[in-house]
Parts: sequence; structure tokens; C-alpha cells
Amino acid sequence: MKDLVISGKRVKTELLIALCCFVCAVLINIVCIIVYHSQWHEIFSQIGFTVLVAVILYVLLLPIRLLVLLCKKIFAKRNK
Amino acid sequence: MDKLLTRKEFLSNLGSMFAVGSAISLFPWLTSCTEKGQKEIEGQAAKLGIIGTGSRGQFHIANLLVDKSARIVALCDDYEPHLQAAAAMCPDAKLYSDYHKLLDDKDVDGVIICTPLNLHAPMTIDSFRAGKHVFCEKSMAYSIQDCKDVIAEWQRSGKVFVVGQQRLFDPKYIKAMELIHSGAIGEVVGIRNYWYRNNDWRREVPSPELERRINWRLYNESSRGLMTELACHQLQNGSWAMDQYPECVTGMGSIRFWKDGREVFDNVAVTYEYPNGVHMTFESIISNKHFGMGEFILGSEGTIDLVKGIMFSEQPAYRSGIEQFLMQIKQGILSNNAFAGSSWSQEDASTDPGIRFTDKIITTDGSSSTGATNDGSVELAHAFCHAVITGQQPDKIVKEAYYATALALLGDQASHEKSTLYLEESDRIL
Ligand SMILES: NC(=O)c1ccc[n+]([C@@H]2O[C@H](COP(=O)([O-])OP(=O)(O)OC[C@H]3O[C@@H](n4cnc5c(N)ncnc54)[C@H](O)[C@@H]3O)[C@@H](O)[C@H]2O)c1
Repeated sequence: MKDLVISGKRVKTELLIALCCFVCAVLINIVCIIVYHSQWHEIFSQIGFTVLVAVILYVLLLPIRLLVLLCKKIFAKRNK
Repeated sequence: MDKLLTRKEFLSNLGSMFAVGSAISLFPWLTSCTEKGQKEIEGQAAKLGIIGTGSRGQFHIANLLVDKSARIVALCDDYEPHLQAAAAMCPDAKLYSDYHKLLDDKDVDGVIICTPLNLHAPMTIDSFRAGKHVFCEKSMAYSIQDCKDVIAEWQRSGKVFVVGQQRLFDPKYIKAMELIHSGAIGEVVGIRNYWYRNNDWRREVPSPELERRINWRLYNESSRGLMTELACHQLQNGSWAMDQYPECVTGMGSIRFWKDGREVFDNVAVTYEYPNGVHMTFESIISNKHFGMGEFILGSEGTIDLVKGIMFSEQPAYRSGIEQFLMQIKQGILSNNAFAGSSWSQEDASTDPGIRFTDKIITTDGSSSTGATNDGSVELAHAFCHAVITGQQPDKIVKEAYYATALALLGDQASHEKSTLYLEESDRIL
């Protein structure tokens, strides 16, 4: 069996995307606090739900990113 | 204060009972279900005659056969197949086809009347005159005047009188009323009842000349239709919860679907108004059963679902903003809801799962026209036996039954006349 090699660049990119998702989730939490007139301490106390939303966003991004990757590959082949 | 027996305790004595921790002083008509009540009649049995041994009559017979405080000594029905079916259940009972003869029988202490509505008043009055105690099935009588005549004769006789309003003995209704009266749902602001079925309400008729006898529910001469057969039970909830009686009623009804020669409506919608402005509705359609049976007491701070034994709060437990957001996504309502401003709380039905206030509730969809199990009927019949033996009139039952019937009859009249009718001062007799 061949070893699977994940490059440092890939790890960095994934971490960056995960961070973006988390930031988005925090922003969603803030919007929810405003819209539902709930309490500001929920920014910290609801961290569990925030992480959950971040994971959902990350998972939802996966098919989109795969699609983009596929398109890029097709374009690259044609341009050769 | 006497406590009601627990289910286990009573089971060992009687074979069927309910578990309620309520104080008996709040529900004095339940005396027969207490330890003290049981002791009072230990080793004794009420000698009963059953008049009308059709489906409800046989239902009572089956229950009384396992109640040690009852002994069925006589049966009466003028329809031979029903009389024979009942005779097979109690082979030692004397058989009569004329109820007057049964009333002459000195062996009979009390009678249970399970005949069509138009016969309730004459049979009850004759029974009191013959010196018998009476348990008459609901509704009390065919007209308000008949009800008044029945009450007058009962008061003259000094005998015991019970009417088939079994919700008064149903543990989940008892618990619910205790909660309502203790203010658990705030002020009562509305009462909503409905009873939907999808069947023609017909019984099989062996030969055409028996149609009006067997399907008596469908004809004006013997029945007041959905109001006396179904509404009567549910309207009683309102009076019990409110501790007062409505002033007036308005309603509509029609034969919309079952145009098969019947005379009573197959759908009705009536609304009652209480003196304090509370409205109680009753709706019934027997050509659609989507909503089944429902009985709700709406309060300023909560709602009680009487049928399921659940209490809902107007202020459900606090949820964080993001939790509410995720719940809305889960329920798929984000797409049609303005996601901004304070109007987020749209007029959707509450999603509060509520809390069950009694354990092991047995619910019914209301589709049986004979009766449901564990709905208080067994305890009501037992209370009658206790009353026959002790001579003590159970509190409240007659009053509740009188008003439930009067309201049902008034609602029926209003829906025929498509008008608003008032419960006259002269009709407030109890
Ligand atoms: N409390 C409840 O939940 C409940 C449930 C079902 C029925 N009921 C009531 O019970 C009553 C009977 O209903 P049912 O479904 O048993 O009807 P049913 O038609 O099955 O039984 C009525 C019986 O009365 C008999 N009868 C008619 N005229 C008679 C007479 N002159 N003398 C002797 N017997 C006579 C009939 O032959 C029949 O056997 C009705 O008033 C109904 O509203 C109450």
C-alpha cells in the first residue's frame, strides 16, 4: 500500500479554511444574539454550538471545493 | 383527609382503578374510590338491573361482572338478540322485555339505563317512582324540560342518581382540573373541543324495518345527534374547568357528506360564551378524522391537553439565540420567515413538547361509540354501586350532567336555527 502524503501547504490551507468557518460561526452566533434578543455572554457560553456550526460550514464547503478543484483540473488539461 | 387509593392498592380490591395523589376533599364524588369508601361497602353488593343491553349496556355488564360490589340480578331489552347476548354474560339474571316489569321486581335496588336518548327521561322518572336508584347514561334527557322533570322526580324520590359523565372519574381529567384550579396555566382564556371521525356512524341492520331502532342515533325522534352523543362529554370539561356555566351559544350544522337518509347533522360547529367573556368551541365532522379528538383548556400562562394529559407552557424553557436558529433550520421554517427584527417569533404553533402530568396515560382517538377503556367508566359504575349500598348521593355528578346536557341541547337548537340562544335563568336549576 502506498503512503498517503499530505503536504504542509495542504495542512495550512485546511487550517485556514477551518479558521474561516469558525469565524463565520462566531459571526452567526453574534447575529443570532441580536436577532433573537438573547444574551451577549452566549458568545462564550454557546461555544459548543459555535463549533458545531463551524463543522457544518466546513462540511458544506467540501463539495463546493471539490467542484472547483475538478473545474480547475479540466481547464488545466485543456490549456496544455 | 382521605387519600385516593393508589392503582396497585385498588387493583387488588377491585380489579381496576386509578392512581391519583389528589386530596379527596377537592373531588368529593370520588369517595367510593377511597380506602374509607371501600371499607363502607365491604362484603356488600348492589343488586342491579340493566335496562338496554345494547353495546353500552354490555360494556357496563362486562365491567360490573368483575366488581365485587355489584350483582346483576335483572336484564331488560325489547330487542331479543341484545337481551340474549347479555343473558349469555350473566346467566343467573332474570330477563325482561318490558322495563316496567323489571321495575316491579323487588330484588332490584338500582337500575342502569342504557337506551336511546328519547327514553332516558321516561325510564328514569318511572324508575324513581318505583323506588329504584338510577344510573342513566348520558345525555341526561332529550330536552331541557325533560331534564328538569327528571331532576324534580329525583329530588322527590330521595334516591341516588348518577349520569354517565365518566370524565369526572378519569385520573387525567382529575389531575388536569387540579392543576387548572391551582392556577398552573394562569387565567382560563379559552376552551377548545373537537371530535372528528371518518365513519357513517351506522350500525348493521338485519332487516330494514329495524333501521330506526338500531340506528336511533341518526334520527331526530330519538337523538339530538353529535351534540348529545359527543359534545355532551366535552362541554362538561369547560364547566368543570371554569366553575361556571356559559350564558349563550351560537352554532351551525349541516348534513354535508352522509346524505343517506339520516336526519341529524354530520358536522357541527358551535361556540359558547361564559359570563367572563371566555369562549368554548365544539366542532365535529364525521367525514374526516385528521384531527381525531381534542380537548384543550387554554390559559394565559399555559395550555392543558386533556386528552393526552400534557401541559404546555406559554413561556417554554429559555433557549440561546444560536440554539433557536438551529431549531428553526431543523424545522425548515427559515425559508418562509422574515429573518430579522423582533417579529421572528411568528404565529406558528408552539413547538414546546410540554410535560406529562400523569404517568401511564391511556389515550383514545375517540373512534369507539361504545366507550374506551380506562376512561373513568368503570369507576363511575363502581361509584353507583357504592351509592346504592350506602344510600349516599355522590356530589357534583347530577349538576355537571344537567348542565352538560342542557348546553348540548341548546347548542343543537342553535345550530338548527343558526341563531344565538341563551341559557335562561329558569334553566339554571341546580
Ligand atoms: N358514556 C359514554 O361514553 C357512552 C358511550 C356509548 C353510549 N352511551 C350512551 O348509552 C346509551 C345507549 O347507547 P348504545 O350505543 O348502547 O345503543 P344501542 O342501540 O347499542 O343500545 C340501546 C339498547 O336499548 C334497547 N332498547 C330500546 N328501546 C327499549 C325499550 N323500550 N325497552 C328496553 N330496551 C330498549 C335497544 O334494543 C338496544 O339494545 C345512549 O344513550 C348513549 O348515548 C354512552
